[in-house]
Amino acid sequence: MKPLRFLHQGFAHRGLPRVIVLSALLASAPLITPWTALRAQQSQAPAPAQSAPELATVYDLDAVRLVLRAFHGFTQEGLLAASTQVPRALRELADSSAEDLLVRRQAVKALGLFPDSENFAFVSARLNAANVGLKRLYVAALGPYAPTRGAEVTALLAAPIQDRDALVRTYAAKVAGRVPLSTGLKGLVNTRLQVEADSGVREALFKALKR
Amino acid sequence: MERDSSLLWGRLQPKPNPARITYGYRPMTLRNKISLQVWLLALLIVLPLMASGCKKKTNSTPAPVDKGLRSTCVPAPYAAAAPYTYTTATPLPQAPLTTGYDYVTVDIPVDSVGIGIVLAGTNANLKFIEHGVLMIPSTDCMKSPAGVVPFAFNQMDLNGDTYVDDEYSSLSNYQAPAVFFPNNGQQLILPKGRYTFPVGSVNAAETATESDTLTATVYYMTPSAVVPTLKVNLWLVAGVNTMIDNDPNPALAMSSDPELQGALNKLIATYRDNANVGISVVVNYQHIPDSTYATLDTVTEINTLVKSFPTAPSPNDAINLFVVASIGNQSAPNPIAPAGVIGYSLGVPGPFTQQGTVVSGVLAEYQHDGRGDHLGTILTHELGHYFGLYHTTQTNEKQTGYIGYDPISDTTVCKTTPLTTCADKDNLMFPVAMGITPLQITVEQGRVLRLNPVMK
Repeated sequence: MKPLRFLHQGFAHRGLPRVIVLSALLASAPLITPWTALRAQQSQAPAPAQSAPELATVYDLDAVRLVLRAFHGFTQEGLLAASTQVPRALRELADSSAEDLLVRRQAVKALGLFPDSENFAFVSARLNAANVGLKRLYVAALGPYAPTRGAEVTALLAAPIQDRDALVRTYAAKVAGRVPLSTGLKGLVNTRLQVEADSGVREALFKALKR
Repeated sequence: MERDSSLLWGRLQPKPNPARITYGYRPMTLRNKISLQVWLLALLIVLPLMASGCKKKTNSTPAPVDKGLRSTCVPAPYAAAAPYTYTTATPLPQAPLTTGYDYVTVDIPVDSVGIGIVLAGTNANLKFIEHGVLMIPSTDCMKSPAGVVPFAFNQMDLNGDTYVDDEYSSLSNYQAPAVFFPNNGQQLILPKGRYTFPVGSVNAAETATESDTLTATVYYMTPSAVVPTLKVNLWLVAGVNTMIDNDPNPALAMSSDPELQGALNKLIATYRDNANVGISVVVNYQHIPDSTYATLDTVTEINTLVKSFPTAPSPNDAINLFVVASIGNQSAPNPIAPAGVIGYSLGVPGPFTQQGTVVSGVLAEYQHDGRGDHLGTILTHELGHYFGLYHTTQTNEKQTGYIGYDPISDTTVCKTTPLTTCADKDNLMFPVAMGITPLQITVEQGRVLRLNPVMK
């Protein structure tokens, strides 16, 4: 028997009107409010990543989180000052399902400030992220690699440029606009242009060709 | 004759359990019933009091750190939370700008509690000159009818510190600069008469475009009996949320989107429920069908978006909140710096009720978390900037220390690290989105908000 039901029935059996019992329960609602507010606050607070103590020690995750949470952006210098293991910390934060989505999104964006091979592999493997917001950001994160790894990026863009989400296609087209023009890239963009209906994507595709 | 006691309370009262009667159960006497009811009534009174006590304690504002600001406060004869109304005054004919800086001259016909001005001109670098920007002498700051400086916008270096002067100088192009005072939450009575404001170009080397004829819109605030209301247009750009885009009535679909609703609930609760503010918020949903504006990579794109949607639902009546997919993303060759911006206000303050300028609104990134808590925090924070509030503590880019603070004396300045220990970390204008609810607003911050001409 559930406790609340037991309490309710107990009062009722002793001749106490249910209306009074219910009134008392309603009156105690304000007591519950601070508790629920506290719970909500706790659930919204930056959640620790998995095995947080170890990671926090190695990567200074708390310091990185703070830099990422700034309303008006972050810099490479700011992130480097927060941790000696910045790219690894960012990958850890971006990947952690226990992490606040705001921090995850910011971590993906920050990866673009550190365009190394490991980050390229990391981003490339996540172009199909389940969360559409993250997926868009991962596609956009290919941008810094476009000028130097054109062929690889072009190959990676084949799927995103046909994605069902218009903004995934927009980001793919914008990244394509940073890849040095080649036959392969022109073919990819032209093929999509023939079927693309979204005006924003079409504009990005045109820009990718006309430069 | 045994009476069916369930009749006494109608259907609410179950019939007595015969088994328990067999074991000596006696129905409650009237006396016992009354004493229990008294006990419950006492609970009804005491429990809410206990709850409110807890809440008050949670919301208490920590003791402020002395910022060394000189007090120019003149006690006003009206309540601190008095609502205000604005009237627009016609400025005097302005001479074209010449080199250096000149003055805008305004005649305010009655005693007021606040004055706001929005300039317009073709000079893209037009700006109000505050003491410290071009380091003009403090005696050349805004002057009152008595010829004195009634309020210094930027009281710099009073104790070796500065408060943030113009953190958005890399973003705004100043085509509609706005100024509002007092922006430090003090209660002043500004005597009627002629005021002068120094204006000029932020580009000190610029001379070619300074022969610019100005127009100015002047707002002056006087006490009012009307409860202030803030009208906002919530614009969602196509592409951000495809479910909304595909709905036959996207604006209606916005009103049931959990993330947008969660965000608005936080915004409304912050501004309405805080005793220091008490502003009611009216929301108008708008959908922008062009996904071109969903990804903003350059300042030009931002300005184009903000300028392009001036009229709905009625012109010059509400503040525009633009929800987009991303701001300054790495997919662009030269994205806005710094990276990772999640929200912008196009002015501190923004040009009040004027729409259709390149700085008429605030931006926020949709977070795709389905709750809207962070989106709400971003929108609420950026609106605070638009109303003229600065960061309580301006932190450095490493988020390891402070480099300045706001001009408001009852907000705290965090001089400790890590920032998670800051006393102002739960304030609306803390520069880091800590994910805290509810966001705090001090008495003087509330006064700045309520004095803004945007409030009707």
